[in-house]
Amino acid sequence: MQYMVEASGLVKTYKRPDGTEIEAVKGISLNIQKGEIFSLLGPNGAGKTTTISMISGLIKPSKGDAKIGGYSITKEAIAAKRLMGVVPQEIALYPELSARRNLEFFGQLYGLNGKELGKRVDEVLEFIDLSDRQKDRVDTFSGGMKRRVNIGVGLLHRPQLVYMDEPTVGIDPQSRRRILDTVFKLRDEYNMTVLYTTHLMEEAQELSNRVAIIDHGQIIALGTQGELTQQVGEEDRLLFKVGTQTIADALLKNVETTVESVTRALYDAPSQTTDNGGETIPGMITVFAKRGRKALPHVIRVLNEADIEISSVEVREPDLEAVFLHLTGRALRD
Amino acid sequence: MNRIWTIAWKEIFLTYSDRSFLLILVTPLVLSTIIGFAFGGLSGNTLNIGAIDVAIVNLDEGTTANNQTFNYGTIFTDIFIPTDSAVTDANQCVIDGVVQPTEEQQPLSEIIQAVALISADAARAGVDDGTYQVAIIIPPDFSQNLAPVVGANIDDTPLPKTTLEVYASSGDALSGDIVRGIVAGISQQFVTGNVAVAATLNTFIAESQARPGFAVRFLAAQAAGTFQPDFSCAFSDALNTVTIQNEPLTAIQKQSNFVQILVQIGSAQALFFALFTSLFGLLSVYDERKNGTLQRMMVAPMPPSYILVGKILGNYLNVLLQVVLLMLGLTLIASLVEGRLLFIWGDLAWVSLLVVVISLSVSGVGSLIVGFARTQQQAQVVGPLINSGFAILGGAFGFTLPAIVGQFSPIYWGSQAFLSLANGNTDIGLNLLVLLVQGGVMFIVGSWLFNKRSGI
Ligand SMILES: Nc1ncnc2c1ncn2[C@@H]1O[C@H](COP(=O)(O)OP(=O)(O)OP(=O)(O)O)[C@@H](O)[C@H]1O
Ligand SMILES: [Mg+2]
Repeated sequence: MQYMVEASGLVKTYKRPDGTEIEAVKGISLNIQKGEIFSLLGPNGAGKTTTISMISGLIKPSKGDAKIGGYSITKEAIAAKRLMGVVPQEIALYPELSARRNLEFFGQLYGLNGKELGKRVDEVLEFIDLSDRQKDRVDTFSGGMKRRVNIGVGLLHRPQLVYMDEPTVGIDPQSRRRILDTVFKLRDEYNMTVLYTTHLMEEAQELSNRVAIIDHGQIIALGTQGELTQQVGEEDRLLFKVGTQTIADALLKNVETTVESVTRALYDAPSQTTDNGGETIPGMITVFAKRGRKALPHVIRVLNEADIEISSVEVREPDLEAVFLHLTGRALRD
Repeated sequence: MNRIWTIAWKEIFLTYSDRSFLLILVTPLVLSTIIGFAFGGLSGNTLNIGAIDVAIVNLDEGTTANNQTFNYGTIFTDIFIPTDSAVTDANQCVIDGVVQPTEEQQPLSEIIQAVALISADAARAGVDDGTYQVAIIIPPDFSQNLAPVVGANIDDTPLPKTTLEVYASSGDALSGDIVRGIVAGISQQFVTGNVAVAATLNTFIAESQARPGFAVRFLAAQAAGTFQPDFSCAFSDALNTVTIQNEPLTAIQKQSNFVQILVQIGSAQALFFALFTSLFGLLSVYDERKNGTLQRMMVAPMPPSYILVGKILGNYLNVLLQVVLLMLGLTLIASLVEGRLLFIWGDLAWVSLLVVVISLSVSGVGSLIVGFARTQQQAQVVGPLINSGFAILGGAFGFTLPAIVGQFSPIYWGSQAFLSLANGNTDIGLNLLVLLVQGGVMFIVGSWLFNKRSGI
């Protein structure tokens, strides 16, 4: 079968002002099938946006190429671009223009005109549920509404392929739900192929047919969720929130060696998030165990003996978070 | 191509959806008006028009119709050279002398010093050697050509053309304009049949001073044969009177001077503010990159050059539109001040050409600044300084610098050309050439640099 996107050996090197170079993407190859939702999951700065920029023809790859529906993005850019709709990470709209005007302007750039343009704009406004606010300036919209217009612009010309770069960043849960439903609708009702980037494990998990986990400019794992979680084995994870106390490596070692079925114990120190007004994420101990529920009371006992105050406990079945943790030794959360 | 227009149109639309744009439209108008009053209106008699020396040659042989004898040439001449005794022949349109001026008023003779001559050649020679500033020559068939109108339905009868020659020295365009305006005014009175009622000097003078373009059109209409006066007034048996009411000369001067200054300062101010429109219009490329709309355009299926061309075209049209709007605004102000609708810019075709060319220069300056500046901040700081420099050199603030330095500014060449045109002098070839070269070079170099800077 022909792939919607075939990227091979994509590299992007940026020059910093001081002359040094930074390799934002270090050789990414991936194939996206027609009609699937494909997620690029990775923390901030992993290279998700850079990758999308290269396969949407916005920036030139330093090395490698990508084919979109068979057209090379570097050599047959216009034909390739015709097939894709792009939903950028930031809200890329003219704030002083109305939602409708924004849609009309970008629609025209995709060659839509006259009645056809009007019809498509109506459809998209309906789809993003903003028909009643279409005449209002975008800068009077809420964050969630702006996000929806931002998505709508990418859908005007009914592309076969949609790139969505972290479309749920910075919005409330209700708006997020709406956008995730939209993504499903694009695939299931409009037969579109979706490339979705996120740093949220839950989103990738819920949406994707297949996931590529990306870190430091490289794909470290790629496959269906089943395939990926198999990589970590059938291990459960025990999550202990431990506040701001310091945890000694010796204690982790102790857990690993004394509790039966435990294979690994990791510690993430407390940290400050940058978004959401800078809340503190408490320190967390993650314990991998073949039979999590059985190991749980024993781990708690060891921690109690070390005088560690546990504020919450959670048992998780194998998931993408575990995969990331397993492959990088870090939590995905930042 | 459609998409280029789409982008260009978006540039314009964005400029006008920005509220601050109202300010850039209103400020130059207010400034020009204030400067216009300060320099041209309130300071009294600053413009010095002495009496204009005019030679009138009446070759009109007169004609007879309906048993009446007419000699329009004589009517004409009498208006310029009033005789103390009124012409009393009951069979003629009668000129009932000239109303004696009150103390405040000055007679026509203070504006026009007319002498009757017999030979047209002598009159023209007199103009050429400077004895007279203007010669008016009334042809032998002047009355005759107008006579067939009598008794006929005016609408059905093709009227013959009349040729009134106003011969002015090219070095004295203003005097020529004034006299042409007066002649045009009288003719206009004839045309509308009101010669007996309201041929006021007020009308004549105002016509010529406020609408230099009128004289040009009048002559053009003559040449094209579309000037078809109807002297129906003359066929009334009643005693006709031409009343000449004089306006005080200072009032006339005031109006004229105000309009002159409004044209000069106003056009320079319009160009000055258009420089900002150009600068900030092109600078928006930085903001567009920041908020991602530029990237959005770049992932659309079209050559990237479209974005560039669209932006530059949009910028040019933006400047053009702003200059036109400001000129209309200035026209409105002049009309309000003068109390009637008047177009102050002279010949429409020439002034349109000038606007098209000057906008190229203005837009070129903007792209040059944005292209040269290494960052947005740099352009924001340096740009206004350069714009103001050009405006000062170009005389946008009511004082002029020596031409040697002024010539570096497109505003200098532009406002000069505007002033010439407003005074009916279409001799602006050099200005157009300089603007075209200056503008063209800046536009091309600027666009090239801008292209590199924008990273499209
Ligand atoms: N124009 C640029 N110049 C220099 N470095 C850049 C540039 N754009 C991106 N980078 C660097 O490349 C790396 C990858 O950035 P990228 O934006 O692709 O990450 P991301 O996965 O999209 O992150 P996020 O989740 O925060 O959006 C980062 O280290 C970033 O600093
Ligand atoms: Mg990103």
